[in-house]
Amino acid sequence: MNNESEYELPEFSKSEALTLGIELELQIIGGQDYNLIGAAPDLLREMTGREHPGDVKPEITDSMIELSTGICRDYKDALSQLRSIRNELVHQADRLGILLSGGGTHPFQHWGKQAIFDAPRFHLLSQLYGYLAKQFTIFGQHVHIGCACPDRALWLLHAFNRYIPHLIALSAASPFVQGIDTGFQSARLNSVFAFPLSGRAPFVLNWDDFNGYYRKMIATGVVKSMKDFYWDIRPKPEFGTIELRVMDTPRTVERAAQIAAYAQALARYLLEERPTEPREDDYLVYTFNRFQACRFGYDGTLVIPGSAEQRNIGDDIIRTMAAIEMHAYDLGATEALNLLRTEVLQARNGASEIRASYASEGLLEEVVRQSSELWAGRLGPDMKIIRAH
Amino acid sequence: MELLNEPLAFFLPAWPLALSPLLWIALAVASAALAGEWVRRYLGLPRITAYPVVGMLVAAVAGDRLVAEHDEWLHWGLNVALALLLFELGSRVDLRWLRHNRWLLVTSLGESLAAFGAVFAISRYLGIAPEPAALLAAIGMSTSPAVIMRVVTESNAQGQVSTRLLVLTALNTIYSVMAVHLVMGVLHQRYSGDWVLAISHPLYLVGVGLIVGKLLAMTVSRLRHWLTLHDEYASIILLSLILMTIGLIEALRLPVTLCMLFAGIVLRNGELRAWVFPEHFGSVGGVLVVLLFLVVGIQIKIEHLVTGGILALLLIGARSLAKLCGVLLFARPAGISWRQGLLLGVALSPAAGPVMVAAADLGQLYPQLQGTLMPVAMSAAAIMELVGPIIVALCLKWSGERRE
Repeated sequence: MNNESEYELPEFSKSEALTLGIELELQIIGGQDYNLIGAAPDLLREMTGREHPGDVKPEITDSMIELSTGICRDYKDALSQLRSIRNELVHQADRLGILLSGGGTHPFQHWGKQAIFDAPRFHLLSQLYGYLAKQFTIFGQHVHIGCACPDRALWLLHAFNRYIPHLIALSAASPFVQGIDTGFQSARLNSVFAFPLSGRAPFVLNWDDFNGYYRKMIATGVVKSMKDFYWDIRPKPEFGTIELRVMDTPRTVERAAQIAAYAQALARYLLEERPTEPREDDYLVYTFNRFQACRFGYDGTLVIPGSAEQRNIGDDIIRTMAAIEMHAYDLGATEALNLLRTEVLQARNGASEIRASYASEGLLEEVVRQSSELWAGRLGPDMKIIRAH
Repeated sequence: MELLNEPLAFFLPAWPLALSPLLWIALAVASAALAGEWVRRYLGLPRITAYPVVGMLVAAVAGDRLVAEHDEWLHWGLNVALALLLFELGSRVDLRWLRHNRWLLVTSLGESLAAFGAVFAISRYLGIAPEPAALLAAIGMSTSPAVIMRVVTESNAQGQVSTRLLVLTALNTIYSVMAVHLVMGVLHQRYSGDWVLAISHPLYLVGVGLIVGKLLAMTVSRLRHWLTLHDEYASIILLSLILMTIGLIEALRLPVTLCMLFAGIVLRNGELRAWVFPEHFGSVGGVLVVLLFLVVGIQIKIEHLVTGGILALLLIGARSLAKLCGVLLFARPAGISWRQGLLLGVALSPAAGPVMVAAADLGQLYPQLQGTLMPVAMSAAAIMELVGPIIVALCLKWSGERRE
């Protein structure tokens, strides 16, 4: 491999349209003080050789681990894969006396204490970004949606921008940062914004144009690969997918699968019905909408791109759900949609659950403990203990 | 001369000043604390490494008058220091973990039994009668809870080695206290063939110990529903509750060690809710901890270190090796790497402080042991007292779990 091809944008792989892949970044928490603990090497060591679908990988810090599903056809497939990886991970964590948890941030960790995972790329990141890399101890859900061809992928990527606030509000689970209630529902995204290459992808709808942009960026020396772009949605040519990256890791795998199913049905609706054509001007309201979703969740205001119409984000989700209902049905995601709709109607998401838990317990350590039990599937959403089956 | 003793004015003190012993003890504590800071900054070692050394120096300068004259309140202070450390240690034991990972329990039994066997065998080899040898072996099972707690807390270590170190120490301390009481019962012929008595003794220790622990845990858990536990004022309440418990334990003639461990364990595991120590709870006991290690040092005589000679080193080596093997044997099934197993096994080697006290007791019980057991045991304990913290600190450092 010569230097030229190393910096070349990879070919856009063929993947079956509307297949799903889910990645979840998890918090690894010490059983003693409920703070983050650098136990990723221990957990990875104990996970080697265990049978489970998908993959488990190290992440930038030792107190984070990433699980990913294989290619999933639908909601049911994704849910069952996520559950079996989760079960194996929780089993190993139990043996090690550590806890795992969803949520976009650890409520009271001090990032100064996080060790960077011992791998060259991570050390490089840490050197480049300084404290930002450590502040990057935030935990997100990434959903890959398979696209048949790269141009359709770019079209879908830009068509999705209007719905980014939905995904943020549905998944938001990071109200606390370093012991303080930030007032945000997803404070995690604020940390992402600090990175120079975060935000939205450039408005190009043609893969060759995108390749041209990529080459120019490489030529500036600012980026070395697609991994250096921290965009909210980015194409993943190796997989032949677009990757939605704005979600906090939800507090349960069930919720993660439901959100992925919502995104899948939405993608099918966009691709088949083509309700709008994406335009550069759509992005005029993009950061406003996104801020509203991060800060207020369902209660935020969303400006419909291309019009001056303002809507409540929760209302807009319910409307969208009605529009995509038949697609969800065809994809076998009706159950997921119904469960999510109930949550929206009850104004409930991860952030509201975490706040409620703190309000009743008054101790962030207990909030973390409940989150980890919830993640392990040992606690119902009503905080009642589920007896081992 | 006579003139000098008369104060110049009624409000001035007599000359020479009658310095209260409190001043000397405080001076010793201050020097120990300063030495601790020095050791930490320039040698990178845990502070408690310095305390016993300063204690030895104090003893060399002032003799053990300092301790002997203030026996009663020092005894109290040390009891409280130990009680706090053990209570905190107990609260680190998560019984659910032991249920999820049975191999951890197996490791614990393995390393304790191996240590018992090793010390027993060496003692017998030294020609000590079976009963005192068993007593020594029972004491040898325990890893020093004070050393482990202090070093782990000080280096703010978090991870498989340090967490397991705490759990294994808590467990082997429980086995050790139980075994010591049993062997003592046999030794003093208190049971005198009455098996009901022999059986009810451990039952009393565990049963009533657990009840006392449960009482403390219940009180704390009641209180925490309307107390902000994070608040530093909560530590005053917690501290006084613990003092009350010590009083109760002494009245019931129970070992403080066992009861406080139980109390910690019950508190942690009694309910699901997360348990957090109030802020500055640790610093309350800080002065007492210095005192604890200082007094241990005062009891060490320079000659102790040498008289035991090779045999003492043999005893230490055999016991440490036994613990290491016990841990390594089950390391992989228990979910740690070989390297972590090695470090954990070695870190378990510091011997408990009470060894010396018990050895001295034994010496009085069996004058014939004065020549054999005493010097070896005292010497072994003294060496471990000085070297133990360094070993633990190095193990934690190499495990990469230090977060200072």
